[in-house]
Amino acid sequence: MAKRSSLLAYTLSRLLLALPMLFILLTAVFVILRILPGDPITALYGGRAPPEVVADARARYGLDKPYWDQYVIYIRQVFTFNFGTSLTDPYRGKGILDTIAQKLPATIELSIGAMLVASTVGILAGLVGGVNRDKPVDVAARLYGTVIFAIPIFWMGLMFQLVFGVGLGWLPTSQRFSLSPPPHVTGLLTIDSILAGSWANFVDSFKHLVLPCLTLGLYLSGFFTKTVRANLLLTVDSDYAEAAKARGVRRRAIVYRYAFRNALIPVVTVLGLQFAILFSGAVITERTFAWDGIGTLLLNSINSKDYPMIQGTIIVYAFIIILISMVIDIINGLIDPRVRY
Amino acid sequence: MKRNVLIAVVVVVVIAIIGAAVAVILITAPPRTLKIDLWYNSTEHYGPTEPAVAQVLKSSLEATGKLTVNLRSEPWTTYTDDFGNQRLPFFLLGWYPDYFDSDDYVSPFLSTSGAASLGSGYNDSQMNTWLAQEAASTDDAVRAGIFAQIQNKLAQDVPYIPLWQNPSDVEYSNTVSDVFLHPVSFKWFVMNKTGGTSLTGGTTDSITSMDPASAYDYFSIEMINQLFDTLLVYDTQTATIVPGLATQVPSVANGGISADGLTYTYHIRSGVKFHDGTDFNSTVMKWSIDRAVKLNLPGSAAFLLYDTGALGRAQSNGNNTPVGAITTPDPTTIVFHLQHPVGFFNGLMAFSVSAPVSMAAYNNTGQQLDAVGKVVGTGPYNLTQYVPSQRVVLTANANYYHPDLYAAKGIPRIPVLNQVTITLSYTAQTLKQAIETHAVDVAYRALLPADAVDLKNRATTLGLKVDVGTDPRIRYIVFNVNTPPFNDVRLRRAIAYAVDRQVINTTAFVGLATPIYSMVPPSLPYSQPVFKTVYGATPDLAQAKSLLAQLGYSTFVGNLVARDRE
Repeated sequence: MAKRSSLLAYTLSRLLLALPMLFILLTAVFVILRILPGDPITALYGGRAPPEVVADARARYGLDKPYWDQYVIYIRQVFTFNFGTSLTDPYRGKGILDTIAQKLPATIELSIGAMLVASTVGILAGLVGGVNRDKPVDVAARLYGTVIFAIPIFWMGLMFQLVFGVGLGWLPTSQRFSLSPPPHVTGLLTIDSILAGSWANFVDSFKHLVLPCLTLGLYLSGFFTKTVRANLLLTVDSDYAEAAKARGVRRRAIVYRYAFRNALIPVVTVLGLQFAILFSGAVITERTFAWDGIGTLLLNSINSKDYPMIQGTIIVYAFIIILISMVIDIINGLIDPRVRY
Repeated sequence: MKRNVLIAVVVVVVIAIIGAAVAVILITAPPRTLKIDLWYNSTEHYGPTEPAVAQVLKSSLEATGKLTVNLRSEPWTTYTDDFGNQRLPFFLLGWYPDYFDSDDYVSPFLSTSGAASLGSGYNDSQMNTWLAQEAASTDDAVRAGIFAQIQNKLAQDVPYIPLWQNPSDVEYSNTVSDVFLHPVSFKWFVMNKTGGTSLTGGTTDSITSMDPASAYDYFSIEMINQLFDTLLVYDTQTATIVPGLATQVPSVANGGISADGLTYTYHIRSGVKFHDGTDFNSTVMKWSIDRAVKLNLPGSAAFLLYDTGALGRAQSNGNNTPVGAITTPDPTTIVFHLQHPVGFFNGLMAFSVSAPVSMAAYNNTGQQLDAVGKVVGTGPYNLTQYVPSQRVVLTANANYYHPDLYAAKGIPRIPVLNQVTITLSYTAQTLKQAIETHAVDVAYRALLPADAVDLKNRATTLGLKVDVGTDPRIRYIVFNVNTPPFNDVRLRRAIAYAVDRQVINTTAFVGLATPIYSMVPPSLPYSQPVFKTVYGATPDLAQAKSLLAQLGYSTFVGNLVARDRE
């Protein structure tokens, strides 16, 4: 009971702390976008329209107002969950939150898939390496961990596309679906296909997921491999493992029952940190596989300097990362009895 | 005394030696070159070939030995802001026409207001007069004469140097036929497929809006052309305007255009219905035009109606066109009364912003949603599925009013296929993979030029056809004619002599581009290759050098001038 209330207090304080953090971020994004040279409306017309038409468009978006007024409007918008509409093509005139809500499931689906690949491959490779310390298989695992993290995502993606898509013809190389998509429920096409009871749709969306998830997942798995291996070695060498060994517990049991479980605790923490890297990796992966997610959205909006869309997207990113790091902290407390709030 | 003389002698000798040394250094030093910045866009607004183009231009200008070109680049948002505010003196730009008339290749560049928006600052009263005259006239002979004068003066004053037109290409499966690389409107509804009633397509584009009052980008307009109709439409393969919702193309001869060029009368087909079953008539036509003008959505093409098209926009009339600007004497007649003659008004009536929308399905208070059931036109296709940025599905409009529109062109009935599914937002790379693996039947816009060539070379093996044509977009150099050193016409002419269009074509476009020698491209009426006549088809370095020498970039004096100007 005591623990639960302290957890609640902890969660609340984390949430309250997140507020000023968001506020600082909001301000920083606003200022940076205005300091950078260039203007979205001028770029939208590209010199095609008479100056009065451009001026009229700027006025309609409130871009002719002083920065301070624009800032106040912007903050008011954020706290009323109305981020306005996009200024420039290809989202011009569309609601910011609507557009983000439309793109977010694609990124979530990609991220979950990539995390599954990363943790499965990473933990397995780290485990194999750690158990067989300094044997060739360990060297191979370590080498894998280093090399895979160093390969550029777009290159790895391109290689997968060429081999499995163009060469072997097994998998589609881009987009999220080929068949008509299932009715929209969650936006995660695999889940929606199951909900719609359509096996064909599930296979279709799963096939499209494979290459992007492999690309992003393998890239991230390098970090997991190294973390799991290092932690496993640390726990295998620890006093309690030594004591267990002295009491005649078999090595297998020590590794899998005690050491491995304890070695995973820091991995959970790392997992939280990895989400930030995951999102930045997702931007490139989405681009490589023409995956219509929030990463592509951010990239397009930055290119066209679509102020409201960039602001909205970054806030959503920040919100997700804050949320994930909180969840990870809480999970950590639940699985590690030493953690106190 | 003796000592003083000695000191004086030493001083004189030292000064003489220093003087001589300076003179020797100045005379023997290599001639100083004029350093200029060439700007280009770094965010692929014109595709990934831009840095290569800039590099080729740099080399050909530096081949004169008198110019040093520093390449500078910036993102599109900064670029447009900078050239619009006259901050770029020498830069690369492109132009996609709004209406397919030679006027749209000269007025935006050479009129004082257009030149200010496009960053050249060109201002010539004679030119303004000519532009007003050609825009007001519908007489071919008159226009040809004026366009000749305009283009000759363009080549003399050189505020721009026309360089090339991009290639356009379409890749399609062997089973697909009647795919035409149209200069203005790509038509999915005329395509046929052996043994099938549906077709899949792919593109790197996405749809910004399917509301005619909002769309102003290539692909949105392409979609509107499948879903909506305009009073006038384009022929299947050429830019010839033919009747669409109107029964004839107005001309002075048939009485559709008044002698003073101020009144355009269109007779409308009767019995035309929108996708939602409501009737199309002159009232709906007027309402649709007024709607676009009234909404005047930021980023839309509405200004082409009230500004370029001279219909006007009246605050006193609720921001619609002024009272009396559009009249509808009867349900099948609509008359446009222009504020000044606009010779290419028919072209504007073939542009997507003029497409009528159903009054039952649209309002004139805001942009229409892009959703099934909300996009209601009279076009050959109906919107039956739309997943933004991912896919659009077009299904045949069973009640299409004019299925035999292109019968004379060998297409007995449109739309030919029952359904077209287009996958959106491919990258150039993944679109190539999609057509290569036959994941789509047709790939249109935009593969890399080298990939189009690669597919063409392997077309037989891959079971594909690859057609290459010319894009209506022109590419050119802009000089800000008010900014030194480009305010000297001799420097602009020297650069016109030195540019090498052939190398740009081979280096950046694998030979698929079309070099151009006038801002009016060769596919349009009145085009004359004036830059070829005046400056030659290939670089004339001797002439370029001689002009630069006149400017002083070769001699001792020139060095000083050059140094002074930096």
